Amino acid sequence: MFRPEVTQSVGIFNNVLAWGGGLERIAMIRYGLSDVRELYDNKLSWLRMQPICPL
Amino acid sequence: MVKDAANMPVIEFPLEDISRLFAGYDLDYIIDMLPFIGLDLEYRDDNYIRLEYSPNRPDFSTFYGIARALNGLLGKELGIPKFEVIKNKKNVIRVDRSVSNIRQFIVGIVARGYKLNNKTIKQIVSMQEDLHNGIGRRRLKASIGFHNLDSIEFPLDYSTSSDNLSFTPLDHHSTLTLTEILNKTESGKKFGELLEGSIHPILKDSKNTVISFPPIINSEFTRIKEGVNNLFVEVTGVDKKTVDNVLANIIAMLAEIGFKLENVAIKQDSNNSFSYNSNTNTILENVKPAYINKVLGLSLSNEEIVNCLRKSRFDANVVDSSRIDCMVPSYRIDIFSPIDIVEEVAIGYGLYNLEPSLPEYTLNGNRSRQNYFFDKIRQAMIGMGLIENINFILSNKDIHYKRMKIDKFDFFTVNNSKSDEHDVLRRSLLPSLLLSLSKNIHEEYPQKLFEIGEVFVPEKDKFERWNLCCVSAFNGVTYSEIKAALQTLMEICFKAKFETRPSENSSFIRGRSADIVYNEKVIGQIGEISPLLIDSFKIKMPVAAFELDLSGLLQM
Repeated sequence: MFRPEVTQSVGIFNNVLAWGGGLERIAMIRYGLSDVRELYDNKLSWLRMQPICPL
Repeated sequence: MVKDAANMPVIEFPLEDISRLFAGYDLDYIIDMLPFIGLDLEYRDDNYIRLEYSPNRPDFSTFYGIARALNGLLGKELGIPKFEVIKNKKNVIRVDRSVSNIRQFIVGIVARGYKLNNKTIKQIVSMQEDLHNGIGRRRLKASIGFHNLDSIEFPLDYSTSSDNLSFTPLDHHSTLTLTEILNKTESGKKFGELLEGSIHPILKDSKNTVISFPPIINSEFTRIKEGVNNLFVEVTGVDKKTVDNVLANIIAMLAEIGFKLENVAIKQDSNNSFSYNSNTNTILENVKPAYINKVLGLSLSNEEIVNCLRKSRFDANVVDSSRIDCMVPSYRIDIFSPIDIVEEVAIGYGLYNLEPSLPEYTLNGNRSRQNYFFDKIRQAMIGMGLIENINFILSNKDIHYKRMKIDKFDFFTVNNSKSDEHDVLRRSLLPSLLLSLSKNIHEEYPQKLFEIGEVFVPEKDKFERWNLCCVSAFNGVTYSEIKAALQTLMEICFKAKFETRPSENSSFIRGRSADIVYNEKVIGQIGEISPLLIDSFKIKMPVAAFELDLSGLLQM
């Protein structure tokens, strides 16, 4: 939860909750990758072999 | 000081020490409880665990501080710990006004009656390093000197001295002048920049023996080691609050080790008054129970709130039904405002006791209108057999300027970029797609890629835009082929009539290059990629491409 000093300074007076997950990490688990950079290599050979990931 | 990959301080806690400090509890239970006072378990084996903690909790730099906090949560020790400090009129530091220009603040504590062993010294050093590097800001705001009390005589003098004063610094065998210490010793070289000019702060005792040259180094004469029974600790610095916070943590640690503590009085030479450790617990007044319950989503009574705070080692006093005064322990340097009290209530309540609940309001998220639109484009492109590519917006001069053989350099650039890889904002998508093609020259052809992404063009108006770019690479690709793709897209997605007007573009082969015109405005370019670029990207296959600005089409 944000400290009120942070949100109030921009005019927000309600409680603010923030959260986030690492989608890359979930993708790595799902696709069996050990290095996150493999998601950014733009390798067609890898991409063409991957099954569709249903939402 | 030990820090982990995230640069957060860590402490290694041997399992045998955990068992000893929490005798009567299951070891695994204690280890499982530690995250609930704010310690992250990073590593565990048969000998020790490694815990990561936040730099605003220097009290977690020793086992004593961890035990103090966990004992509260376990219910074994409640409320503010009492550290008894008695007055001894002999313990005086006289402060000369000359230090006010260089390192103004000094406080101290005397600790008697515990025989130091290697284990306790290790704990002391661990806390000292944490305080130096954390809130001490690498010794600038505060630095600490631990001394063997039996080697010094009060009253002490904290004053300044010129460069040619000499003494034997810690770990050395002969005397060095202050200048030599600054230039030749490790500490001198590391921290010398905290002292400007040629007058330096020096702490001496009544026999004129140099005890310390803060924040640089202590004297070898007052070295603490195994077997030392009595300590004198001084904290100097340029920030009063930090100096006090540092001393508060040291007092808490020394008291828990088992020392008997005595005050040290500070006497400013400008007046006759003595000031003692302002090491008291602070009070945060008028905290509203309603506020606590609102943030936490609980309905605790005032008494329950007080109990939770006591488990966090705070004390609290119910002033009336809507106000609680909270006593904050001196070593808690991280408590600033009521929200911090809310957090301590939550910790004392037990974070594991907080039950997740669904939000009161059911609001739905949805695709933005823009993304709904982009998805239609994606469907059309994929339907035509293209593969979507997503590339970095922050890229580099090599790919977007040098390899593209552009004349004018007109990009948003990063000031003082730390990396060559990320120093300009891209102004078009084409270069990154060409780069993707260049990474796949051993793969099967045809290779057809597209990207929908943001670009940044340094123009007064609307410098942030969304573009669509499409590249097609295979033996025999032509302008007609790529134009067919553009036409299909425009008809399916936008039902838009457009024109291509021949133009010159440095990226494309002359005669095979055109502007894309929609509504009388040039919204993009289309053509066969020039052999110069094929070569600079080392693609080895002909490529045809188009790129257009989606904003004009989005208005539909």
